[in-house]
Amino acid sequence: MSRTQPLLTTIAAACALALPAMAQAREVTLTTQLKNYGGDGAYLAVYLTDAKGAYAGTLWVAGGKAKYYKHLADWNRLSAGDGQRLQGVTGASVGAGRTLTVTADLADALIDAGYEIRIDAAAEDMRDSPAEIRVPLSTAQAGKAQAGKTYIQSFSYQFK
Amino acid sequence: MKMTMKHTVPVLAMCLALAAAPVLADDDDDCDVPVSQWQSRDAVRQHAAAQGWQLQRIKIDDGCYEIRGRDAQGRRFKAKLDPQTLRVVKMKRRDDDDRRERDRDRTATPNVAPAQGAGPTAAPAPDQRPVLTPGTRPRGQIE
Repeated sequence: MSRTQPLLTTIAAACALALPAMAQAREVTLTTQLKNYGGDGAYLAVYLTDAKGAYAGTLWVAGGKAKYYKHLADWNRLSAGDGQRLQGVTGASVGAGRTLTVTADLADALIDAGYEIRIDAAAEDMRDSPAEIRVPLSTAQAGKAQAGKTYIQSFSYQFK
Repeated sequence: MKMTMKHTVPVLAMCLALAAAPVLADDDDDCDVPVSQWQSRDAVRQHAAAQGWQLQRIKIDDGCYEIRGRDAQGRRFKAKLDPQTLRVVKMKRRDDDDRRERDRDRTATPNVAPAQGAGPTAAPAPDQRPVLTPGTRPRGQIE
């Protein structure tokens, strides 16, 4: 019993530290369904801008070849100063007609605070589409589907 | 049921392979041939001529030869060739009609940069990731 006591104390301390952080976080699931645009897999950058329109952070980048990131023009320009913009947020490009689902734990303070979710999109030999999607990050907007300009059939997000 | 080390290793290997699958699928049009085994550009031109292709450009992309030109039927195409075997890794044909349509599209709605002040501006400090909860990472899935 005496051996397990320090372990239990450590677990309790870890929970005590983690719980306040968890209470301030909110899980959001973003669902992006692409049109059947008849081309190669699309590169997508999903990112946030704040109430002033300044870049706030990257949530996901679909597509692994850095040479194509310049075609995600707005995101590439705005996030250039963020050295960790790709850390842990990259995946494969998304084929025409397929659906990308991204789940992220966002700070509670971002919701209903004027932040915006933006998606830039591009596909090989097709036109670039910066700001393909622009929607407010708000409880009122959650669950409402929106179509993109060129590649995205519908985009919506849900809070858990 | 107890899982022995003997069983754990193959299971872990399988999990890693499955996790890597989407990344690998994304790069299935890449070539990975040592430079010493590459055929010359002249060999590419001869190979193209034998196919009845008229080449306009040869370049190297993703470790492959990438060629553009017209095929034996006169259609524009772009292809990636394995630099060792000259096998076609990827081929895209394009009708002139498609090109005209795309050009018209571009003229109708020019792709211009947003006006200063209209779009988002400054990037945050490079070492900050304020939007995500510390210690968490987004998960992405394609269906």
